[in-house]
Amino acid sequence: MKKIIILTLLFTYLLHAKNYTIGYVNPDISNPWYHSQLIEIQNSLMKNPQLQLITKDAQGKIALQITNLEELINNKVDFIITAALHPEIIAKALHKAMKNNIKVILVSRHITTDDYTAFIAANNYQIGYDAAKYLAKKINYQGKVLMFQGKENVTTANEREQGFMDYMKQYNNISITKVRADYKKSEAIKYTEKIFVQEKQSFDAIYSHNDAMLMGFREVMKKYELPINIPTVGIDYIKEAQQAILEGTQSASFVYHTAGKEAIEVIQKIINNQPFDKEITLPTQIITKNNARKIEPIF
Amino acid sequence: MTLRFKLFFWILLIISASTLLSAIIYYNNVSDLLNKQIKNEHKNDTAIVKNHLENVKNNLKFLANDISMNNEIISSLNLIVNYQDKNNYNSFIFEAERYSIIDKLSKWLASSNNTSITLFDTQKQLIASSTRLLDNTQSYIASFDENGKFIVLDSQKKITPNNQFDKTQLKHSITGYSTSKISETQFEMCYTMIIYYLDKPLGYLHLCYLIDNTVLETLRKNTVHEIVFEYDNKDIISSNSLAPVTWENAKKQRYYIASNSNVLEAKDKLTYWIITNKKIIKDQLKETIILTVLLGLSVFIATFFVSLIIVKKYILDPVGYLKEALHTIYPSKSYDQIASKYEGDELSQIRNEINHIGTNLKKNIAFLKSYKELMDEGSMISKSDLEGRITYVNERFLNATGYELDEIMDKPHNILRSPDTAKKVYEKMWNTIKNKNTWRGILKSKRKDGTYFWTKTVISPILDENDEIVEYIAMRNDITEIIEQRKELERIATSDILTGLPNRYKLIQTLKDEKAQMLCILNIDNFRQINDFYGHEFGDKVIVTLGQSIHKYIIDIDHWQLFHLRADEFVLICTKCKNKEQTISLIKNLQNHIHHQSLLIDSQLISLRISIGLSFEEPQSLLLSADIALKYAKKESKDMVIYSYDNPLQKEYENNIKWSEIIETALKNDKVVPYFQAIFNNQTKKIEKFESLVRLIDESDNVISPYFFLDIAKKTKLYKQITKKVIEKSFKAFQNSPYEFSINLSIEDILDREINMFIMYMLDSYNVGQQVVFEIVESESIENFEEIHKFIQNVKSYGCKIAIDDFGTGYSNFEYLMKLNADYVKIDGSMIKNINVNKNAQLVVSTIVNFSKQLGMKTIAEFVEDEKIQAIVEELGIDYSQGYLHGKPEKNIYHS
Repeated sequence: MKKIIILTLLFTYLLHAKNYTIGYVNPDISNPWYHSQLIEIQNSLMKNPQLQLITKDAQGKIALQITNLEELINNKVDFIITAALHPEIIAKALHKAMKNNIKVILVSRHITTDDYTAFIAANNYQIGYDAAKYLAKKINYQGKVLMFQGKENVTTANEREQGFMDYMKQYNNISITKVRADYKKSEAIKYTEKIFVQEKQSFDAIYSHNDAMLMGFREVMKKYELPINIPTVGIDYIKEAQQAILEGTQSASFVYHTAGKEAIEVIQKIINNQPFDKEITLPTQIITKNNARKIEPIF
Repeated sequence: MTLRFKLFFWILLIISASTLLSAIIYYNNVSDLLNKQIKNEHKNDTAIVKNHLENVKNNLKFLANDISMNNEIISSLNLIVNYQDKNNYNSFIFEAERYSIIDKLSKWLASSNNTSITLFDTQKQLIASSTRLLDNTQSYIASFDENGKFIVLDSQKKITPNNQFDKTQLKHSITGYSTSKISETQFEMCYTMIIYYLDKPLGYLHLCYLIDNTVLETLRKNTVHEIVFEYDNKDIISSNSLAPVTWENAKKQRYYIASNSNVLEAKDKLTYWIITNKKIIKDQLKETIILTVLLGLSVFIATFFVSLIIVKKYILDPVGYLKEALHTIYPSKSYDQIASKYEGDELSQIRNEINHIGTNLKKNIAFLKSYKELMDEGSMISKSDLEGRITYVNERFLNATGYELDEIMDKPHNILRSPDTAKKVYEKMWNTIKNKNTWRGILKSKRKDGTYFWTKTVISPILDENDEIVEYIAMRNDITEIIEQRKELERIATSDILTGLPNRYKLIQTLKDEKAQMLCILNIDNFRQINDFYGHEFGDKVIVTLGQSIHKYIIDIDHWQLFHLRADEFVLICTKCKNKEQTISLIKNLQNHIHHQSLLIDSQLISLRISIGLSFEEPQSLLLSADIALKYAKKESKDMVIYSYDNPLQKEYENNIKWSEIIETALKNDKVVPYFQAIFNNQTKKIEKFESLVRLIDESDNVISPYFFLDIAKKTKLYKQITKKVIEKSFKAFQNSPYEFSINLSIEDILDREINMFIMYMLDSYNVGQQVVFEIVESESIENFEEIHKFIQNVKSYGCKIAIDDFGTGYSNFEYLMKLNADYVKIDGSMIKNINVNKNAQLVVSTIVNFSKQLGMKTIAEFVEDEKIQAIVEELGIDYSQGYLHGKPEKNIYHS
């Protein structure tokens, strides 16, 4: 009887041991954070040989993300992991995926519809809110704040901005200047040169939607030997941010996990028919000089 | 007409004719050529336009393919076509996407002017369009206003009224190439294709090439003729605005040459034309003719003057030099070499030839002048006409003949002719010279005074340029003196100086020339005694007187001639004898006349006797046979002997000849050999020596004694060879034997340098000096005793001994014995062979033996033939015996 039970369990296992294909559309691999997300997914999949990964790069372009997604749908993958470059338009493509019984795991960036299986991200609104709180205090609730915006029309940027603005709006003595550097260091460099070197504007603080844009800011200041004596806050907590915090050229950074590991965990739960939350909010943490040495950066 | 004028005239004529002919040919062809040229240019222009349009076509298709496969374009198109919602239009995203499409299109347009790229969606509604004109790009995108209404935005995002942009909808329903008219001055060639994504059509890609004036101007830069683009036989774009009427004319080839081609396939509405106004051809023709005339004139003038210069430089000037130089060839002038101004051409070669001829001519003239002077000085020169009449004579001729010039001019040459000269000599002379050959000969000629002179004459005909005889020239050299001298020499050579009678040389000549029938030799008997008694001068007078006497005797006898042969001999010959008997009788009478007449010479009466040898043999053997007859007469002491073949003397001569031949043959065949006769020592009773004696082996192997051949050999000079043979073979025979051997030598042998040296050489070679005894025959007298003594000394230095042979028969000169330092005395056999019966012989032999012993010489007795003689020889104390008792001469060294 025992043998029959064992054989039945084995048969069941073998039935369930089919291979699954995950289509991963990375919004922009040239972005270090998204590159880190890819590495995390790949690392997570190393323990799951039945899961095969097809990676595509949207290069930050909506149209390309759509064609990437349509190709994956056309290829009939089992899962799609992506972060939407546009919450509405990408939602249409993901709608097609869902209609084709493809499980959609959204990471970091959200869409406007319900056409997804799970969404995993930190609370960007809260990060923005906490960052505003930190900086307002640092500038004694008055002064000029420069904001390096992330990509337009993506939920992360929108939420990080919304949270920040919601906190700041109570202080009339604080003015905020926004420049859209699209999460890119290169764009941030251009704006920093324009604002600080050419126009010689001065700000009392900088809020950046990610650490990469602050890196760009620091490179320009260093190049022109200009002092960094204002508080700066970034998001993601990458290695360069850790180092800058320890050196005193960056004030703080908020940990923002790539959610790659978590996305694979959700897929495994789906495969295993285990329960999982559709909305998974990842924890975050502010890193300053006080804890920078203790907390490892996300990549 | 001078060469200069001729050349000028012909150059003018040839160049004029050439130019005119060229012009006519050119004019006739130039119109056709221009038409052909225009047609060719049309072809080229058509090819240029066609190539351009082909390139455009290919480029449009290439661009279309490239764009349709571009992922970014496809992504953007996909986004716009499939994801935009004009009711909930997110202009930011979609407009941005359209502008990004335009950005990308600009990349393809960058290198394609006059090109537009337009993208339409599947509903053929505009998405984006970009056009590049004159390096300026204009772009439009489709969008929707807030009310969802279709609008067109330009690159500045400003709304463009739809009527300003007519590509909001794709009008073509076909894909591929097409042409269309945009406006009256703008046509276009387009390429349309459907863009697919995941096997579904995403939209249309529409690329157009705008054909307008700018395109035309660009093309026109590369074409020769006007280009006209025509659409649907109505609208045209031309590089040079054409009035409709003009265009209609052009199309009908009226006033124009026109050729057309379709832009696309045969039935396409858009065509292009290459047109040329015929007026241009006319203008060109006119220009060409003017240009040709001017060019022709220029060429004519240039060629004319260049020709004149060249002709002057290379023909007229050199010819002038040649002419001047040729003038100087005249004998009266000194010749100047023509200057070498130009080298290598024919005229310079002519110049060289003239220089060569001129120099040689001058040399020849100078030579001829000298030659004439020399000839005049040394020879008589005369010329005569064809009939032999004298036309020229030189001074020497006049001097030699004694004539004055006027006496001899125009006179026939035979005025000089000698009657002695045979007529046939002159006939032969005339035949020779009339045959254009040179005659040479010696002529006897007559002077004015009647005396004669001899000339060595050469006569040659003088020929004209046609090889015809015009004159004869004669050169005479006076050889009268030479002729006279020759005659005298001949006379001397053929005459005896003493008697003045013809000599032996004349006799031999006469015997050759004339057929003598009889010859007799008259020899004065004992003439030597007259010479010895009266002296030679008297003897000569005897000869002269006898000659005169004989001459006087025969002077009246016809055909008899007398010759003086040598001192005491005269010869008479008869060339026409009446008969033999009468002749003999006449000779006998002459002999009697001489015998009975006494010659009175220097008051001495001398009687002479003569012996006569007479012969009637053949002329060639007359002299020899008469001589034999004379010798026989002398020998037999007869007055006259008539030669006959049976004459004993003839036999002797024949014998001599026979033995000469035998000796020669024997020498040739090595048949002259030594035989050896033993010599017995009377004390030791042993054979101790041998004598080598010469023998001859004839062809029948008979051994012949020297008695028969030695005397003849001495006369025929074969003797030396015999002596050498005996010496060499004897030396060889005794080389390895213990015996002495003796060899006979005559005094002549010793005195002969060749034999003398041969003996020394043999002694050196065979090393037998100690064995050799040279037997020297006792001789009447030795004239050169020093040479003999020297020989004896030389051979004795080799160890040789000397024996005196046949001692006792001759002069028995004891002084001689001592002088010769002889070692042996060989007592003559004539005394030994009678020694047993002749007491006198015994006495003489005894005397010789005693004398020899006293002088320390050994004695040898010859002819010891028996025991009795041997006993006496021993009794007399003779040391050695030789004779048949002890051995005959043998081939080999042998003794019993």
